[in-house]
Order: sequence, then structure tokens, then C-alpha cells
Amino acid sequence: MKLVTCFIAFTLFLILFPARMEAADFALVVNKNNPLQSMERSDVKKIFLGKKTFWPDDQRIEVILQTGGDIHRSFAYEILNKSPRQLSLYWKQALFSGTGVPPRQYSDDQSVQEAVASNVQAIGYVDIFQLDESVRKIDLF
Amino acid sequence: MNRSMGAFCTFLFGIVSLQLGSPCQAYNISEGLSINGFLSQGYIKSRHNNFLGNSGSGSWQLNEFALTTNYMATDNLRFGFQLLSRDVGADGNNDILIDWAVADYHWQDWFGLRLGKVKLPIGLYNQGRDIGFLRPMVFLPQSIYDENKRTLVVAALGTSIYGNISFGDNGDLDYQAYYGKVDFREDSGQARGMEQLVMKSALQRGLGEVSDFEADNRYVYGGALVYTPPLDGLRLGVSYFSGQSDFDFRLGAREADARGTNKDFVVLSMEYFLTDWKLAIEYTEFTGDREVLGIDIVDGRSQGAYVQLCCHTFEPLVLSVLYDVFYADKDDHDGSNFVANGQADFLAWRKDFAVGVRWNISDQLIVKAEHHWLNGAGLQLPLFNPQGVEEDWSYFVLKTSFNF
Repeated sequence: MKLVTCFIAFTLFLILFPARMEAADFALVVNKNNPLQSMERSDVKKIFLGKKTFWPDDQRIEVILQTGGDIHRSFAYEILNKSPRQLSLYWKQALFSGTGVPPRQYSDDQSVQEAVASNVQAIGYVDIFQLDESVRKIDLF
Repeated sequence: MNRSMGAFCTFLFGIVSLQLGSPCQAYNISEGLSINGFLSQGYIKSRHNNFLGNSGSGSWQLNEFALTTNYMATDNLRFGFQLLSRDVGADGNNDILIDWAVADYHWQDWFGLRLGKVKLPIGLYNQGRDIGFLRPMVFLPQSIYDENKRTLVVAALGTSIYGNISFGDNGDLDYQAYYGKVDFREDSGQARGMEQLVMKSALQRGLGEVSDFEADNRYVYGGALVYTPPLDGLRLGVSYFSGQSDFDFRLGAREADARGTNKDFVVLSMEYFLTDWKLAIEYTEFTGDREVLGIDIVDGRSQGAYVQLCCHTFEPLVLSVLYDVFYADKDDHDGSNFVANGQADFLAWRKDFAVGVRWNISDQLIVKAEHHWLNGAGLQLPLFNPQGVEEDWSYFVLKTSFNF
């Protein structure tokens, strides 16, 4: 009985606190030579979780993550339904269980755009207000 | 801690020390080559029964150290391996072993092939069972991820196929299938359990002393399906495992053997992740048949299930609550068969209620603390309590982990 009371009390305590929502101002970007114009959100999620790893022309997709910051947080919550920490753990699970290797990570928008601009297979995300002409923005629907 | 372990730790701590001054998260030695790792140390203290070792008086025998290397040879071909040293009570003894080592050819999203020592997909979490910092609590729920059975189910030398099949707007399906052989250790819980059973049988029948006990796995095979439906955060899984092991030993002056079969180990899984909340529910059934000194010991079909709820609202703190239950025989929940054999009825079950907190100090460093209240002595508890087991018991665990 004592255990049941503890269980109920602890569960109620957890339920009292609602989930949080995050705003997003990111742009999904690919190399300018990538012919893709738009993508479904579900496909973007699969790409950034390593479930979809090839472009339509059978080239390997080079996923680029940001190491942290508001844009990374917005992207993780809105597209991947994960907190940045949960996303990090997701990829570490793949890494340490031998089933995959985490994407490359860059610390700022400029580095991401440089990486995407130099690799036709790359895809990343940046602050929409920092977007420059070296990469192409992909429409999400 | 043995000498090889000391050298390994020195190397690992050297890398960690260097890493602490580096902004990147892995060592990228050259294009496509990276080194990662993790280390953890825990403390366990139990009351009334020992758990996994001599925990009654408090034990620091709860650690893991790993070093992981991956090399992307081409866009499709990866080579990787992980060295793992662990000490969990009587198991592991900090010997350095190859945890996994694969050549992984990922041909298309829907098909890939791994050769080497591959991790086995049982339930949603078995492939990550040694990676303590991934999960909310120190131990995975024992009804499904029994530490005593770890050696048999953690990884196999053989082959596996895998892939992801997309159903468009209807979600996607991850699949894995494998066949191989397990490097069975004599200090594993399962080998020690069988050795104890053999000794007991030999003693009862006056057949002499058991010596030179050796364990050898013949095969394991199985697979897993994980369906991710359009409902964000939901995963549904089913997995299957079967395996057979042989045990050779000397009985007095003559050679003898025993056989253990773990068959039809089925796990049904559900995980629901809603931003700050994670609910995991898994259910299992499996059959363990043993043949000892020519006598079949049918253990019956075991049954287990757990519910775990985790709250991430207060990150970096994650709060968890768990209820985990195991029955040695699903047709004997009250232990009548144990009583009929002159044993305590509470050997037939194990009920575990636990609360835990995980503190994510950073992405690299975490601390976990949890307390378990248990009723029942199922899952080989007598193995660690030769003086006798008690029905009600508890344990507390504190553990810290670092990864890079």
C-alpha cells in the first residue's frame, strides 16, 4: 500500500508540470547545386535522425548539425520533437552501439553555410536572418 | 583492477584530459576517422539481499569504460569497433573485451549488412544496455534486461541485416535480423547459475565434485521490428531471440555436460515521447530449458513487464518512476510449484518499484541516483545470497558518467 501511495504521489507530481513549446526561426539549407526545392517535414526528420541517408540520385546525404544555441534548439524541438540533449543522446546511442555515426557539428551559422556550400551532398539549418547566397533555402511543407 | 585495465584507463583518461580542453565532441584523427568513449563509476548499497555481487556492505564494483573508433571508408562502408571494460559485481572484472566490431555496408536506406561482432536488438534498449548515460536510470528494467543474462544477449559474432522501410505518410519501419555465436564468459551470471545448478544436482545424486566448468554458446538468432507511426514521438516494437549454450565440466574423474536453451524470447515494446515526457512499456515472455546430467529441467515460460515514466520538464534534471515485474513461470504467479519443491514461494517473482533522478550537468557529464524497493527473489537472486534470500529488500545506486 505504501508503494502504491508513493507511485501515485510521484506520478501526480510529474503530471502537474506541462510540456513546453519552442518558437523557430531557422532555414533549412542545401548546396546550390542540389536540385531540390522543397521537402516534407517528415522527410527532414528522417534525414536528421539517420533514417533517410540517400538523396534521390543515390548520393549519400551529409547531415550537418549545429552544436548548440537557439537555432539548434528550435530546429530540434520543431522538426525532430526532441530537446537538444535528447537529440545528442539519440546519436550517442547509435555511436556507442555500433549502429551509426553522428553527423558533423558546427558551432555557428557561418560555419554551417560554408560546409554546405562546399559539399553538394550536405544539408543543414541556419538562422533565417543570417542566410546568405552561398547556399539555397529549402521550403518546408 | 588488473594491469591491462590500468593501461587502458591511463590511455582513456589521457584522451579525456585532452578532450576537456577541446571544443569538439569527438577526436577526428583524419577525414572519416573518429574516436569517442565513455567512462562511469557507481556505488550500490542494498539491504536484506545482495544484488549482482556483494552489495549488502556497499560496493564500488559498478563501472564501465569504453573506447570507440569509427572509420568511414566510403559513403557506404564503415569500419568500427568498441573496447569495453566493465565490472558489475561478480561479472566483468574489468577485463578489456571487444564489445562490438563491425564492417557495415549501408547499400540503401532499406538494406544494410553488418559483419563481425554485432549488438543484438532485443526490446528497444538492449543495443545500448552498456551505455549507462543514455538511459534515465542506472539499470534497465530487469524483467527484460536481466543483468545475469547479459552475456548471452548483448552481442554475437556473426552477421546482421538491417534497414528502414518508409511508408510515406504512414510512418516507417526499422528492421534488424541476425545470426551468430556468443563469446560466453564463465564469470557471467548465466554460466554461474548453470554451474550452481550442476553442482546442486551432482551433490543430490552423489555423483562427485564438479570441476573445470566451461561455457560455450552454439548459436543465437533473432530479429526486431520497430514501427514509427505518423504520431510524433511514438515507437512500437517487437523482437525475437533464441539461443543455445553448452556447458562442459568434469564430474569426479569423468567428463560430463549440460545444455541451456533460451528460446522464443519475445519482447513487445511501446515508447511515447512527448517533448518533456517519455513513457516506456515493454512486455516479455521467454522459455529457458536446461538439460543437466541427462535430466530435462523445464523451467516453464517466464513473463515480465514494466512501465517507466520520465519527466524532462526540469532539465537538466530528469525524474523517473518505474514499476517492473517478473514471474519465473507465467502459470505459477503465486509460487505454488516452488513450494511443492520445498522452496520459498517468493522465488517465483520479482516486483520492483523505483524512483530516480538524473542530473545532466552537461552533455558529457551526468550523475544518477535512484532507490528500488523490491518484493520477491526471482531472477537468480540466490546466486548472490548463498546464505539465503529475504522476500522484501531494497537497494540504492549512485552513478556518474562521462562521455566524449
